[in-house]
Amino acid sequence: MRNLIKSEFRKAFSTKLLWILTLSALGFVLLSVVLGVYLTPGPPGAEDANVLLVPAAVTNIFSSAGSASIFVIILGIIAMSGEYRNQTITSTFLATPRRQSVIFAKVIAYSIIAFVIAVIMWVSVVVVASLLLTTVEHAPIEWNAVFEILGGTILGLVLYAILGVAIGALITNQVAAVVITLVWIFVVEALLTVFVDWLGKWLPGGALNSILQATNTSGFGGTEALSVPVAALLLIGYTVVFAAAAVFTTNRKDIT
Amino acid sequence: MPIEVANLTKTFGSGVTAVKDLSFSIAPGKVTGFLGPNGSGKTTTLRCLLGLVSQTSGTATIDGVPYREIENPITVVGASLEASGFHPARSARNHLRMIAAVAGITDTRVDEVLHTVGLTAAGDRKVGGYSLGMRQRLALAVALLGSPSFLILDEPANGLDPEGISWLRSFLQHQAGQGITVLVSSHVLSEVQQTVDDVIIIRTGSLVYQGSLKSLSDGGPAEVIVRGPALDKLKETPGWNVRTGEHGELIVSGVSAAEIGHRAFTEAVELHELREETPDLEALFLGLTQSEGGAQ
Repeated sequence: MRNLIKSEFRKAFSTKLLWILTLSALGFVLLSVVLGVYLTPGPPGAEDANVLLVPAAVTNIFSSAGSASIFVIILGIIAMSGEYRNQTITSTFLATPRRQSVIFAKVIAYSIIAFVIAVIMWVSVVVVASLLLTTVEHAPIEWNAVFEILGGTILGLVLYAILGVAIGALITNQVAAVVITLVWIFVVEALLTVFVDWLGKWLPGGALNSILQATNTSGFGGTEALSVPVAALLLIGYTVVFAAAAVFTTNRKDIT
Repeated sequence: MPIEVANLTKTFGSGVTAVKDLSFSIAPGKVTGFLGPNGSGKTTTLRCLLGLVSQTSGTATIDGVPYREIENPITVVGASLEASGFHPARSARNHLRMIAAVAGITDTRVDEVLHTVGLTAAGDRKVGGYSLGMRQRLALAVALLGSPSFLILDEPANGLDPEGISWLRSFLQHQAGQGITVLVSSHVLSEVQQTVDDVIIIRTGSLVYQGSLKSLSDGGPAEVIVRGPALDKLKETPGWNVRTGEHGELIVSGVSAAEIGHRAFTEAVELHELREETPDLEALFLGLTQSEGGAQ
């Protein structure tokens, strides 16, 4: 298995995809921080109020690190479906005919990569947010909560990377896999969260938000979030189901 | 037998039966050509043999074991299946290194195989900029990576220019000289004719011929070409199957050149040419692989 993981790292680091997605995620996350510090709207009827005087609003800025999740899930999808797209899957399965081992090695490799990305995002957010916050009036930073967000970001991104690998194995057409995932996250989940609000928090995206302790990230939904342990178990459950399905279909697939 | 295919049948989900009850075996240490027109089931057979496609029924084994059960398979069997199986933005060296890692193969071996296929200078270039011939060479380098004792090559001559084909020929001969068992598929007999010892010929997923190239040609009609100023006496020899060619020469089938020469001597017929025509293998191959109605 060590050899297989090493092979996955060699695959990941021999193209530019990893760097492009990590830098894009960093740009997106830091933009969220800037918007959070300078443009967080006040409550209805008091839009001009300085919400940053509320401690939870300050903490919420730090949970921006978790918005790298969209880039991490795409990374996992392309890592797996890209092998079908470029037909390197033939070489991969010739070298490792036990296909579940290939999926397992990718899961481990991309968990490690997602862990590192999560730490990079969190550190960048902490540095930039602390600096920017010195320019505005705000409630004191609750560092305990910020460190809890680090744990949530790591868990959330690792699980999203694994989900991505599983989706890429289930939907081997890369374009279809990416499009379906984006439509799910930005259309289906977003709409369900608005119109069937009791359901939203039980979906993967809702669970992720609960783990990240992000309030109203998408601007929708008013129901009470799940507790972090329940949300974590729920997202782990989704990931295990998707990964098991991926192993099942991959072992039965004809590679032509 | 090292490579054994027995009663192999593959019907795809779409209902297409690509391989039908196919059986053959391959002798060790020889180069065997696996021939048939495009769409005859060669690639599907090889993919079943390599565990990439699950057969509907039958078995395909290497040294008695299905490919999926071989421990560290690329050190036993080297395979090249398509020239297109590379990430365009990855260099040839990195492509080889990612496969090498799985089997614990060193970077030194990666350099060796790049050298063997003549890609040392281009090894750090992105494969996206490679010509079809260079991709074929890289695919061969992948196959050689684990120093295997079997090589299974699917259409390695596809897209090669005449120089490349001649290079491939000496490459295959070199491998066979090392005692490696080679199975090489092609839809053109002439590409492999000078290299292979045995041939397996299939048509629409079924075996039509297995044996040596030599016995394939022995099975064909032997003909003798006879030229001379006045051949009428020979032409009327009873029991001979004689026809006249385009330029007045006689074409005699079923009779040896020696017998014709003797007859000409006793009948005092002047001869300018007496030549046994080796049967045209390509024509034999086409005859075997074309369906009776000419539907293909």
